[in-house]
Amino acid sequence: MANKKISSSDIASIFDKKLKNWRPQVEPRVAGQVTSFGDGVVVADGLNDLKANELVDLGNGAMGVALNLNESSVGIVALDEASHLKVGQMVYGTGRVLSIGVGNELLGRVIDPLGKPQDSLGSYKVESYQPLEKIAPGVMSRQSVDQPLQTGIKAIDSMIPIGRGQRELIIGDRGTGKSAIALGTILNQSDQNVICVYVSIGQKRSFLAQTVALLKDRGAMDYTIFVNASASDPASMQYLAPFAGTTVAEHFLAQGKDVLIVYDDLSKHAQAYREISLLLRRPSGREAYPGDVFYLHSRLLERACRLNKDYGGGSITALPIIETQANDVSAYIPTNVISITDGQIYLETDLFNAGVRPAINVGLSVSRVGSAAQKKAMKQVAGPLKLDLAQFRELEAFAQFSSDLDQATKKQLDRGQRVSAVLNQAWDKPLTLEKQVAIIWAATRGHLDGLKTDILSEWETNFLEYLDDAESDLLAKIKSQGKLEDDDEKRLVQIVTTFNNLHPEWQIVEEE
Amino acid sequence: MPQNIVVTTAIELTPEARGEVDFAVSKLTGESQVNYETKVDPQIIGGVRIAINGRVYDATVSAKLEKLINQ
Amino acid sequence: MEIQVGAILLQMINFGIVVGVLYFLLLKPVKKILDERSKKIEEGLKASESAVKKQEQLDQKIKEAEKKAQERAKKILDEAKKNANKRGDEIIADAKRVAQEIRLKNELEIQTERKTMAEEMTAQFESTVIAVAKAVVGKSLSLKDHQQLIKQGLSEIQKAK
Repeated sequence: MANKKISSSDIASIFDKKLKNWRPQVEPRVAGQVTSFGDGVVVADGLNDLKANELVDLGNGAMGVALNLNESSVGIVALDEASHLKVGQMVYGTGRVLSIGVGNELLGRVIDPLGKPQDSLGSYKVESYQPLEKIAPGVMSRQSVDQPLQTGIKAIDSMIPIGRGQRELIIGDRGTGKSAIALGTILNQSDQNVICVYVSIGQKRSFLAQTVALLKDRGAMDYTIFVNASASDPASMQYLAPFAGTTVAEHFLAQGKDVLIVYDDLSKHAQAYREISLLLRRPSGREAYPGDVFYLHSRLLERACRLNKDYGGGSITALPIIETQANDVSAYIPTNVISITDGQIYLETDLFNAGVRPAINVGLSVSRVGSAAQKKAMKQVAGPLKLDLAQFRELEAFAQFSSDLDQATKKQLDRGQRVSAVLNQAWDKPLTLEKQVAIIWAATRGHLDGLKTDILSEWETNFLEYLDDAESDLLAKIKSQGKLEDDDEKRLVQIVTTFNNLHPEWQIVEEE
Repeated sequence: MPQNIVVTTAIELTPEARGEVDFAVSKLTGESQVNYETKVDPQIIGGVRIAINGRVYDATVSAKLEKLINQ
Repeated sequence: MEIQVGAILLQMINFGIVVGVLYFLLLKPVKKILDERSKKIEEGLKASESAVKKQEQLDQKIKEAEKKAQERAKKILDEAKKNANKRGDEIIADAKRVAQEIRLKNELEIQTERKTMAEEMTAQFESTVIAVAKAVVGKSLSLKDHQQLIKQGLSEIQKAK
């Protein structure tokens, strides 16, 4: 192909095709002249009939979005480099509102907020063009959240359960494992019939490349779409990325499917919006953010919903991520997003450094949907869990003096330690519901109280293997029933006792 | 309302051509008397472009070529 | 010398008494002891006979058990061999399938690469031709051509309105 000689017949054939579609008509366009251009913001005069959020053609294939409409000029944010722009150049309105091409072929692809593929796999088939800004579904088309979204993470599925259609914020300092929780959840959706959209805002490209490779490795790219505006992309792209991701998700929502969308992270999104607003000379408010930064996130997150049967019964579950500075959840953007979402998962550096991973602070984390979105089996075993942990945290300060305490307190501490240890989990090893139920059941019913604390992760791995090998029918039974019958519990007692007896080296030996 | 009308051609307008342009512009604006500014820009190669208050009617050869290439 | 018959008779009676006494005092107990001893020896012999028999029985049992164990071991080995073979076949089939998938994916990648390259090349080529056309056309237009173009342009504009 590269060595083909170009002949005149080739030229003719190329233009034949194009000339066939050529309509020598004149269509009036709205035009303006550039009066200033700097830092990605183009100010043009003229452009009288332009609508807000309309796409503006800046020439040479570059596009911009008209964000500021004034009486005699228009503020346009360029969506890419537009290095060819000169003052005095004509720019034209396109009559189109900012939209992205969506289609089912998007699954497994990495695109930018305008729909351009970034993974060099060629173009995808566009089924329709949907605007990036849409009004969220109305009150009557919604239904309450009652189906669980299994994250595969024991600490979350037991005490802070997430339902399909809920918005759950993941908030914490840098390096506490926020993206890891989101990715772990995506990895767990392989058999859950959920499509995942991962919106990466202002992240490092190396992180994105790693993540895509990991998901491809685990076969998760088959049901995942990446919308990417990395740190070196213009602020306008970073601003549009979450809206583009939501539009893509809504395409699948309209088909009645369940979608999970992760915004990583909205702090950088707010910063990009602040940058654009300041360059557009909009008045700034608290922390120099523009006055409508709350509306920015609220209109985005309101589009995550559960629709009722008449509208397809699909859902979009949103997991926005916010990065705090020094654990300050009372800063401007964190408080905004906390008040918008239906709960938060709060990650602490102290817990992370102490070896609790995921570093979830169970006391401060909440899910406002709660057990309405939990399978009965999990409800049955997780009930005492939160209480156990809360009481344990109260007593933890005395753990150093555990030899001087009374029996009941010591028992509480031992139980709390083991329950805590059982909730630790590697981020890329999600567990199915039935396995989670089995392990939490063993911990809360006291079957771990006789084991040493340092072997508990080993115990868990081996116990799960044992269940897979010897008792996989019980696991299947729990999965299909969704709850624990009495004889299931009796069987579990037998199984755990047998298993513990197989490993006497893990038992605590009472020293006289 | 005073209208800002600019007519761009590749060469200087002959009197005959000017008359035709008058006619066309008055038809476009619906007024009998029209004042417009003329510009000569060889870049457009040929044809004419009329801009009325920011609305541009582009019948230049260069615009047609651009459209052809960007289809 | 005169042999006193009476003394001999007395001696004979004396002897008889001694024998009788000795008989009751010695012989019987000694006989009893000897009897006991021979009985003990007999018992001992019988016991050792039965012990030997038991030993033989045990040996037999051990041999049988050994044979059974060998059979079972052989059966397990056979099973394991069969499973290993099956596994081996499965692994080979899996590997073949994975290789096939990789090949298909590579082919697909090459195809899409070719397509994008072809598209890019065509686009570049087109823009070059247009640029050339622009330059050429601009130079070759006469005054009459310009008039014609302006007239045509105006009519198109009016049609658009």
